[in-house]
Amino acid sequence: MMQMRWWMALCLWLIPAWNAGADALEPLRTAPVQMNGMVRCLEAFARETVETVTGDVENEEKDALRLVLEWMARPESRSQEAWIKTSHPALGRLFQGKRVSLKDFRDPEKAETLQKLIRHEPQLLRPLHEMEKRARLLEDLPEKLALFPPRKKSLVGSSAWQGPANLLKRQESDSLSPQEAEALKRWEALMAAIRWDKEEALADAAAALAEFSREMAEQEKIEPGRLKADLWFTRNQPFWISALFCLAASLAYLAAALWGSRKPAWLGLALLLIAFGWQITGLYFRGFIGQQAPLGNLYESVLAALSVALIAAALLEIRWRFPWLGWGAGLMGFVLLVITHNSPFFDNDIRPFVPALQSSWLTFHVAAIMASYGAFLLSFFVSLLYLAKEALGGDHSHFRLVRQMPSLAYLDFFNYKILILGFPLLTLGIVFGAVWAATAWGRPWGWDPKETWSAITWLVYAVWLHARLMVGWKGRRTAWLSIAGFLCVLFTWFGVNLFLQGLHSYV
Amino acid sequence: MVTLIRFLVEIIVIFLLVAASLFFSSRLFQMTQPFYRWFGRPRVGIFLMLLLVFASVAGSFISPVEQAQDLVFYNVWYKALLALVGLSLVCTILDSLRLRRKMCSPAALEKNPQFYEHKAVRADHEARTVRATRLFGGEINTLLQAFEKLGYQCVSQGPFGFARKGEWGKWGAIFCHAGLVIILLAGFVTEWTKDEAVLQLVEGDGTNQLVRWENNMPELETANFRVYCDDFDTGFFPHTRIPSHYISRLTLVAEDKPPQPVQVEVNRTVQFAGWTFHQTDFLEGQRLRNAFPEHPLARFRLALYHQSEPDNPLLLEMSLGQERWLHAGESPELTGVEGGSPKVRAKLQGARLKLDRQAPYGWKLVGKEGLLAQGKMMQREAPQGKWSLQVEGHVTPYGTLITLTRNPALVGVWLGTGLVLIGLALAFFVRRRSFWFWLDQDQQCLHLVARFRQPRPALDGETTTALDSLCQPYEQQPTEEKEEEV
Repeated sequence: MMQMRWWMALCLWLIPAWNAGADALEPLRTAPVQMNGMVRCLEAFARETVETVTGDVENEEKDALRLVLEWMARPESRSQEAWIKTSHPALGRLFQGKRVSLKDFRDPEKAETLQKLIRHEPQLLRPLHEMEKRARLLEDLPEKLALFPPRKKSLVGSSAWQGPANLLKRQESDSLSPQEAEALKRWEALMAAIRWDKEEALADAAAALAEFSREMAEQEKIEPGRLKADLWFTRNQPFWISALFCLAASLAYLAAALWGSRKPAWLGLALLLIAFGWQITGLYFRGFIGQQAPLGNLYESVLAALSVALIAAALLEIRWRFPWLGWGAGLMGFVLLVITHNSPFFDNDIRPFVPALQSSWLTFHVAAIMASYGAFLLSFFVSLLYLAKEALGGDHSHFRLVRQMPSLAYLDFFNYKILILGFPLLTLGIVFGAVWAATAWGRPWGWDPKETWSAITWLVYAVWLHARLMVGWKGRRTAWLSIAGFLCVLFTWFGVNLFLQGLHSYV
Repeated sequence: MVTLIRFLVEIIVIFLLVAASLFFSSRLFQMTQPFYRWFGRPRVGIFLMLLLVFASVAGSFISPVEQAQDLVFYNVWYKALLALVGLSLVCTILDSLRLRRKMCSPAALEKNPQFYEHKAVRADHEARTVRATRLFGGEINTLLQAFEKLGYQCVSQGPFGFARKGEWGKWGAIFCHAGLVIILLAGFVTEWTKDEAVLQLVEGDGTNQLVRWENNMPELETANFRVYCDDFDTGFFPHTRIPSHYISRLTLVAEDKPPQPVQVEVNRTVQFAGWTFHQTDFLEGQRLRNAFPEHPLARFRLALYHQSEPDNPLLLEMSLGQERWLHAGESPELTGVEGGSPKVRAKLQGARLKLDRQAPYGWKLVGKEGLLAQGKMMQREAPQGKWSLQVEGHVTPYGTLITLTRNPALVGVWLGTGLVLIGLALAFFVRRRSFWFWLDQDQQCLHLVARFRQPRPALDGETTTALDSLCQPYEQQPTEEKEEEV
């Protein structure tokens, strides 16, 4: 807990929590709710639900939690107003708007027209499926809002929490425990306050339900600090802050490189370190909220590799006074963070691990591999810089900017320095993976596509090292080889998941 | 018997390898020098590695993995390629040992004072050498003393000097290559020594039949132990379809040994009778019915009551015909049984429960029998008082799939990987450098050749500082004289 407070204090010091307004629903935001198989705060649930249904986190100046509660309190609003985002322009034309109401979406006449439309344009099936998911989430919200823990654990160990709709059904059959009856009473009071639109009554009802939730959380042995951390994480989005600091750092480093001055470089270094700090904070919070290592999927792996790239760039910049490296790391950090948060290829929800990932080897294996990928990312950037400088005239170029870059010999040397950090880390990661595979599958190596491609990557970098150290390759050839190595890294990292099937499909 | 034969084969192979390597290093060393020097050339190694890369890329695009293994990874041509890589690695080790012994020692300097101009050294280490000439009018010993302070080992002869440190880092490449050779050898030995079998069981069933896959055909083998699957537990995280756990609760029974209840999970293996048990898969629904077409597949949720606590039953699941040990070895904790107070749970220490498969269905708790009927309470006299059993309902049965492995060569793989990691640490993180000096007293010049672990564009900071402090008085002299002249 002390460690947790320290982190929170540091984060609040670095940046104000600008959207932590004190409103009537504030106490309820940290109420525990079961979501995606784990316990999260109600604010996280509300944001994800609103974002999934409408495509935006905030809607019509109402915050997500208020909107979700209004959907619950006013079923007619949920059904008749246009909330569901249309996923395709053709569907938008059919439903006459960017959003469609649940009633319209379920209209039998429209369904017939939709069927005809899909017969002509089968590519609409996928966006329609997405809309169906949104509509179902909106319809099932009273069951999905799993605020109440089960009264008794059954033999099979199901610990699914219940939504208000489940409690109402059981109230009809008179099977509610006194605790559940009390929970339902407080929930009804909250709904009534929303329906009447009375802010004072809403504040009282929210406080009463929040207090009840706190007691339930204690009974379920959920740390209150975890829920607070979740609220802080959901509100502040540390990775977006990190992206902004990355961009600022790259601009400062660019200024340093253009003017040949150290002052902007020091500013860039500070910004890069802050970006790294936010990155690590975000990862720590993801791990703390999910109670598991934040290395379980592609999204988290990119974040981990990026953290390593940022800190490695900062350290090398301190050691070698190389602002271009800081510029590259900052720029790549910004671009990667924007891509990972906007591409559907990266799932940024916190989800529990499947049994195969529930091993302490995961942390060692993925951390070592991602650290090596971070180093290779930097090496790739230095190689590009080398080739660019050489193409623009090298050390005696006509361009001042190019002359201000480190000499070709030094760029080559930096590349080597970065690779001798990345290569042993990759080896270590592969060894940890082999130990894990021996435990989980009974063999250390099985030529699964991910394993094969990690071996290919290792071999390409081994060729690089041998060519450089033993044959005496330098400059352009090693730069191209380094780029080839990074292309192998990219294929191992993303390509295998996209194009090949194997045992590592969940990573 | 088979294990013994395999063990003997393994010993013989290792012995042959050791003998061959000794023979190779002593008698054939000189004779085969041209061969291993050629095969140990970095360019040959790089060529072989690139071949391996292209072959592996091709193999990775063949689907499914089993076909890729047949056509590429476990095929003779790929193994031959791996063997060639291994041979190249061995030659590299021999070559580097020879080169170190011949050239990179202080003794070599005594034999050949102009050592740093040696053609072989230059050819081999050109990429990593940095040359410098500084003005220096002092003695060679002054120079060497300065380097000794920096932790160098120094020797001198006349105007020539030699200094080096971090020499044990040279073992890095050797360790790394030797580790890879051991991994490859262990991989080949695995082909002969690895043993893998599959155990397929429905909850409540027991078997001593292991299934081996030989040439894609299943072969049954009788094991010298029996495995009972008391319970298979799986579940999903709430409100999701994400599986949360797969747990097989087994009882392992070997001759002349007490039954051993164990729990096998994904990532949590169990060792028994020389085998390692891995939870690799499970069967449900149609897959289960296809695998066990004649099995009744009836599984009940049971409540076991003790007369002293009629309101607090012990809850468990069992199949028809199942006999299970309720305790976990010598531990008083019951396995796969929920509920009941610790006092009542303790009363079941050492107890076994059995449900008859044939009608009229009955149950036994340590020797007492009775009929089994849904919803009907049945009381039985048993040790520690009267017990009652009630069927609470049916549950969907599961089948468990356990993979059994034994691989003595795995030790070799871990040994090899350890050596590779040590080698990489030594090769990349030990500061290793050698300097050759030649003092030209006529010109008051110090010629220096430095060899670093890696190619560098200039001398390192530590050496530059040391040389600056030594050479600056001489280098500044002409400037001072000029100033005086002015």
